[in-house]
Amino acid sequence: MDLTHRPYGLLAELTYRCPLHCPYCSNSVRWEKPFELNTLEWKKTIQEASELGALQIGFSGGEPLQRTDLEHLVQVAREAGLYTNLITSGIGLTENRAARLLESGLDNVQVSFQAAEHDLADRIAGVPNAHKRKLRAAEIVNRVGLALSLNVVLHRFNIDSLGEIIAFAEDLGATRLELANTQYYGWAYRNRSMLIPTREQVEAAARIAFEARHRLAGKMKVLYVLPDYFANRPKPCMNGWGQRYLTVNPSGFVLPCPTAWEIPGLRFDTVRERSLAWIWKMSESFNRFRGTEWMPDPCRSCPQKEIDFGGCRCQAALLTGDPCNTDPACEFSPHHRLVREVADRRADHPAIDSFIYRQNP
Amino acid sequence: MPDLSDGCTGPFSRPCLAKRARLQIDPVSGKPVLLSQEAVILLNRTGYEILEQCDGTRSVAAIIDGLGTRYSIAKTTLTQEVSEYLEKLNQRGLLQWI
Repeated sequence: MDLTHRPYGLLAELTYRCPLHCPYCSNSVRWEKPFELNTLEWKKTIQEASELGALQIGFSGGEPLQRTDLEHLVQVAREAGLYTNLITSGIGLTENRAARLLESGLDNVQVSFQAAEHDLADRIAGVPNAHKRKLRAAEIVNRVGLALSLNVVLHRFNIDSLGEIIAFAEDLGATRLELANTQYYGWAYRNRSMLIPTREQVEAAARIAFEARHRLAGKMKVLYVLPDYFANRPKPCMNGWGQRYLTVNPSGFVLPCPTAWEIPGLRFDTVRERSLAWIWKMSESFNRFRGTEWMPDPCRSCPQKEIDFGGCRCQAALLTGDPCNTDPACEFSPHHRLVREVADRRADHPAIDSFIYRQNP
Repeated sequence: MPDLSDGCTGPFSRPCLAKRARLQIDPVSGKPVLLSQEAVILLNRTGYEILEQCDGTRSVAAIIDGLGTRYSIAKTTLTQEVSEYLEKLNQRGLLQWI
């Protein structure tokens, strides 16, 4: 098998059910109530991913703890030799479940937090007492001896308290902290004018994160994900379409990227009808933007095309209406102003409760 | 033995893999890999031999001595290379120290 062309990671979106309503949720806004894959279907999918070369699996959602077969699926993944990560809100994690997950071979738990301070955190999550329950979950993760990682999505309401967020993660005993500026797809796109920070906010946060990364090296790994809208070049999205990763959504549709469902006109295949290997190698969706042949100018003649792969197809589709276009985050895109002007059209003093909150299927 | 800044990677401290990291053989290539949430690190044979011994019972000095019996490399070179290798992984949060 060609080692440069295999899915290293599988994102298993077990369910879109979720107790929270975060206004930046990356789940699709166009989602109908899914007919979720059952345990056997997931088991087959995980084993097929391993045969294709996957080495990592992220159990995600929605809230994956809503699935009662989560422990079993973790065990299946471990037996197939995968590194297993649980991406959770923490809501619903009891000591009993955490112990069972540890026993099943779970390698890491990533708990999301909305802020370091509970009132703000609950207002962002759209659920009372969410923060308190998350704190309890993080304590349980530590107590049973699982590795704890934290993820905080950044936006104008919490980015100024980044120092507090980092101290909060240290206090909780996290071994890794992912500070992810909001990416504007799905629900976040709907709330963009409220969520988008200023350039000054983003730059100040980057300095704080950079300092913390050095100060805490060896103790807590700090990652700061730069926001596309303030960059001059696009990110190498998914390390290239259909190159490294695959996502399976709750109904079994296989996507080259978790937000690809939003791309109009792209047809996806499901593990209910096809093998994962066929979908990875042969399907129209995985081959549509593979390599560089599909690229129009300015990407086609750009020396960066093997570095950033033209950026994000979902963002190109969302902002320009055509997924083939250069990602507007790139300064060479003729649509770059679509990104530049957004920062100037921020909502003035938005009330935090006026978000369009994420609805659940 | 080089004096490493934060002291935790000194010759007598005993490294082991961080809870969030896992060492295994990639079934596709047959090569060793170090897995974590954010990365798949492909290891060469020496890297694997070093990490295999990072089990919290052996000191850095003992690991170096062990490798010294298997490779005909000058002790000072070996010491420097192993220390640098461990420090690099330590910076990435993939080791812990007993």
